[in-house]
Amino acid sequence: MRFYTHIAGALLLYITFTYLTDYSNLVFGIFFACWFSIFPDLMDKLTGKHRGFGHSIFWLVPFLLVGFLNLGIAAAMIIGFISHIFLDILTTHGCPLLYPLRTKDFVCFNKKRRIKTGTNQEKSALSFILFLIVPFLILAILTNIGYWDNPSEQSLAFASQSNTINDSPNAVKNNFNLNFDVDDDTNKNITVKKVDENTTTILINDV
Amino acid sequence: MIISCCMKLLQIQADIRNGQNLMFYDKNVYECFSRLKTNFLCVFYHDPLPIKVRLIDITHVITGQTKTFLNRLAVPDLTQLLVEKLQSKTMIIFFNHFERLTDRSMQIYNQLNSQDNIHFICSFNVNKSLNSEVYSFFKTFKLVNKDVYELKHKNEINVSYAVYAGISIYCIVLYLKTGFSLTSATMVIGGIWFALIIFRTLIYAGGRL
Repeated sequence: MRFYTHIAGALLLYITFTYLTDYSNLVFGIFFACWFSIFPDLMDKLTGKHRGFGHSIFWLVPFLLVGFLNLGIAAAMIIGFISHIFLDILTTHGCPLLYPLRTKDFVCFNKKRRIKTGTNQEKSALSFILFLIVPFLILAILTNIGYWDNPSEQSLAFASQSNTINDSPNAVKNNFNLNFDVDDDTNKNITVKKVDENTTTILINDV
Repeated sequence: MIISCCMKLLQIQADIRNGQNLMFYDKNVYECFSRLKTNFLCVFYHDPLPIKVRLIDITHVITGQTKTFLNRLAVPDLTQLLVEKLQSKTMIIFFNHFERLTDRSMQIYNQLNSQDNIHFICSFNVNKSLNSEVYSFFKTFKLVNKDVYELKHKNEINVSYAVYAGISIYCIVLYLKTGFSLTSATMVIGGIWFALIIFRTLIYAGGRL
C-alpha cells in the first residue's frame, strides 16, 4: 500500500488505542505512530528488497526493548509497525511476517478480493479508514481532556455555578462530596473530595 | 527496460549455444522468435499439435520442398528427412502451449530433442499436471522467468480467519468501552454510522460520476 494509507491506518489504530487505554499523550504518540507506519518500507528501501527484512515481525523485539526506556514511545512505534503489517497482509502479495526464517507470505482474503496497491480499491480502503478516524478522534480527544471522568458531577457543577449567590461572602461556589464517618467511641473522620481545584474556602458546620 | 531485455536475449543466446532448452511461463515465444530468427535457423508455431502438420512446417523451412509433397510422407519419414537435411546447422523450434503435448507427439519431440543441433524454446500457461513422459521432457528445459511463475504459484499462508477474529475482538472492546463510558458516546458513534449509511446509499443511488 502507499505511504498515505499506512499513515491513515496507523492514525486510526493509535487513536483507538489511546481511547481504549485513556492514554493522555495523544499528539506525541500520533507523531511516532505515523513515522513508524512507514518504517518497514524505509527499511526495505535500504536493504533493496521490497517486502523483505523490513516487514518481518521480529522488528517487534527492539521496539519492545524501547518500552523499558519509554513505554509511550514504544507503544506508538509498535502500533505504527503493526498497522503497516496488517494493511500489507490485505494486499495481493501479502507480507512475509517470518522473514528471514520463512519467506512465505501471509495473506488475507480470497485472491480476487485482495487490495491492489495504487488502485481504486486502496483509495476506497483509505476513505473508509478516514471515515472511521473522525468519530474516534473526537472520542479520543474527549477522553484526553477527561470529559468522561465524571460527567454527572460536571453537569451538576455547572448547574450550581449558575445558581451561586455572588453577593454573599459565604456563598458555596463549588460542589463537594462529603462523607462523614461518625463514631462516638473513636476519633471523628471527615473526608473531603474536591471537585474543582480552584476552591479556596471550605465551610463545615456542626459535625 | 531495453537493457534488461537485451541482457535476457544475450542470456538466451548463451543458453542455446550451451545446448539448453528454454521454457517461459505465460509468455508468447513469438517475441523471442522474432529477435532470434536473424541469428539462428528458427521455426515458430503456436500449438505443438497436430504433430504431422508441425513436422511438415519444419521440414518445409529446412528443405524448401512443397507442402503437397511433404504431406504424402509418413511421420517417421518426415522426421528422418528433417534430421538428414538439417545436417550440422543449429535449429530452434519455438512453440507455445507446451502443456498440450500428448504421449504420442512426445515421442517425436523426444527424437528431435536427442539431436544435438535441435533446441526448443517453449511456453506454458496452464497449471496442469503433466504425465510422466511429458514431464521428463519438461525437465530438460530451463525455466527462464522463474520469478513470474513463483509469484503466481507461490505458497502462501492465509490468515483470514485470524484477522477476522482479531478485528472483531478489537471492535467488541471498542464498543464496550464506548458503551460503558456514556450513553451519548454510543449516540455519537451511531449517528456517524447512520450518516455513513445514508452517504453510501446516495453514492449507490447516484452511481459513479
